[in-house]
Amino acid sequence: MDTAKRTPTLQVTDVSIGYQSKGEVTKVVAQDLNLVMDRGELVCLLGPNGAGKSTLIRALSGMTPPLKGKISINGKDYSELSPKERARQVSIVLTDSMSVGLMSVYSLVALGRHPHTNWTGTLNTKDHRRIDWALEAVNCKTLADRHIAELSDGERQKALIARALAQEAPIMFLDEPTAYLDLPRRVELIRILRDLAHNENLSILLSTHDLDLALRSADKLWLYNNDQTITVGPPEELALNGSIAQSFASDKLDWDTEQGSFRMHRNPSMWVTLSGDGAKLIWTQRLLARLGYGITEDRSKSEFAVNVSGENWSIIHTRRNENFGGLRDFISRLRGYIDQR
Amino acid sequence: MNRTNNRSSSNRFLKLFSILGLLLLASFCLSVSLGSTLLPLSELWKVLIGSNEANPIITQIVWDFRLPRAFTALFAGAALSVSGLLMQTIFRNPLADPFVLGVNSGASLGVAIVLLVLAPSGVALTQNLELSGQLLVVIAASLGAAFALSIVLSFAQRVDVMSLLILGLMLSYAIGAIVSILMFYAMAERLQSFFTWSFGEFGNVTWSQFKVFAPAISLGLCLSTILVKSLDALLLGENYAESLGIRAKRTRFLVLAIASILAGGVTGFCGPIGFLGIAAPHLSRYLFKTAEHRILLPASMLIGSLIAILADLLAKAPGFDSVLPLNAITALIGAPVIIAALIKQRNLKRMFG
Repeated sequence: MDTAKRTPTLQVTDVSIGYQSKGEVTKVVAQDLNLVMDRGELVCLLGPNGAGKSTLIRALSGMTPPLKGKISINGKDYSELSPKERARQVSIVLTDSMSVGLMSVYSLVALGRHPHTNWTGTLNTKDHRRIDWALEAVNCKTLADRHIAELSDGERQKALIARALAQEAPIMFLDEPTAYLDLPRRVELIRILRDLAHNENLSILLSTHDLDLALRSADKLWLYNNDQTITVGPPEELALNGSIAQSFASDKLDWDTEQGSFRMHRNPSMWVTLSGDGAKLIWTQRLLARLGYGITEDRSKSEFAVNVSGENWSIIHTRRNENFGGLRDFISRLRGYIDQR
Repeated sequence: MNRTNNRSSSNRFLKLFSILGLLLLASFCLSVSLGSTLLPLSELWKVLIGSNEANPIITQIVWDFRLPRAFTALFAGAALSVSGLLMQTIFRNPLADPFVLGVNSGASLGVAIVLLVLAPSGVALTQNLELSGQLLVVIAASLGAAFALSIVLSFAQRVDVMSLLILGLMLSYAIGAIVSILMFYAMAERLQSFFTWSFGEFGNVTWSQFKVFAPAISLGLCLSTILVKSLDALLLGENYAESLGIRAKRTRFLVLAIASILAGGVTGFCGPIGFLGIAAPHLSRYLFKTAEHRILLPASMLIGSLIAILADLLAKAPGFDSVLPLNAITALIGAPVIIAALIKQRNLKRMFG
């Protein structure tokens, strides 16, 4: 345990990745990468679409060797490991299409035992126990007998993670595991992965362009910059020092450090003061931002005040008050004021 | 929950295997006893146990014609079916068959050269193919298959599977074109013997040829059993297979080589026999409802042999004087099987993957 702490599980030294054909480098995706992944860490590889996240995952999992540099696992050079040794160190979940008919989830997960079974692939009690455990870990126990072709995207993703878990490798790479999932499924998946990393002491790297989820869950971010390098740090650090804003920057978007997200709305055209409490306050903030209002403390700057305490929504002008029993009326009035502008 | 399921499915597998085994045995006996002359089973028995009472003519029919023919069908069926299964798994395509890589066009080119081109320049070949001519055809077909095979295999480790599939198809077309040109300029009688070969026939393999045929096929079948685990992993695609510790490209090469030896061997000795290689693996998937190769492989062997023997039985048209082309029978059995599977599953791709 202690030695595992001292040597990083995965170490990437001076690596460049990209494409080559016939020995000639045709495209460099990223260069001078120096990355480290420890045990028990959930790392999110973050970058805009097309930054080269998949290419890095492919390089790390040995599918396409890096253009230069060294990747080592538990201190051993990756290229020196035999495929079987590699399979015991690294498991993967890819975006490759999976249209295997007549294969149950249980058999799919059982394939993960390949590096541990004999040439016929016969499963012993220990293998069965590990498969059951893997299914349990991703809450897929009830899916065991279903065919893969019948699964929803979220279920299939979980089944694939169970397969990777069954492989009993300390490192897991996942390429865009949340890509086709809706928000609740995404949150569930990330939570499962984070728990696995922390409780089972696994090193899990997942690539995603889902900024919000990565910021909330990752122990560490590997952030693709615009200049083909990767910045490493805890999410909070990268949010505060502006790295995220820079990496995702475009002239249409600006980064809101306080919210930890990109502003969806343009500059406000009207300013109001807001008072209230609870969830109602938060949702009214969102509403005002969405409609194009800015919220200020400065009464001299504001056109009117909005109060959302208690039952009512009210708009307080200097001379008169407007009270609304229903949210919809409130919204249409607010919209009316903006449209008058 | 799954452990008990495993047990119930292995019971089911056992039951299916024994039923198929019995069916195969029965059809084998039937195939030996039925033919242009019908041999009663009691006579057959006498011949087989070498009884003194056995009719010498019947003994000769059984030993020299019926048995080699039945055994050839048995081996050829298993070989074509297994090579079909291997191809479908490697290419992850339900319509792949042993001949996608141009093995049969290569064989037919070899045979076309012998029958259509060399025949006039002194190689003695009657229309009915004498024994020496027959052997020449076998050699030519095997060399032709090996030629096509070596071209495809030389690319096997360099390109991806899809390109390989297209390469095989193009090779088939190109070789087919050469064969058509040869046929265009050939004389009618020579064309007839070429056509006879192209219809497929299990009855041409003599015991002495069988001594080459059977070991070659057995070797291919044995080697394929070593690959069951890799084949299972390859169902997920080569990337996943690699991540499970399998050298995907090497396995691909090995699988293609085995499949080609099996298909090439059968084509060399029996002519191009279509559909069996597609239909039998589908039928075994359909019956056994599994994707595991350690079940599918023996299942395909049994079903392939069964189809081959039954098709041969029909082709012999017992009770009639004439024979039917074997290739037509396998297509008549094979096409409905695939269509039925398609309708039943609504989506063959989904059933297979």
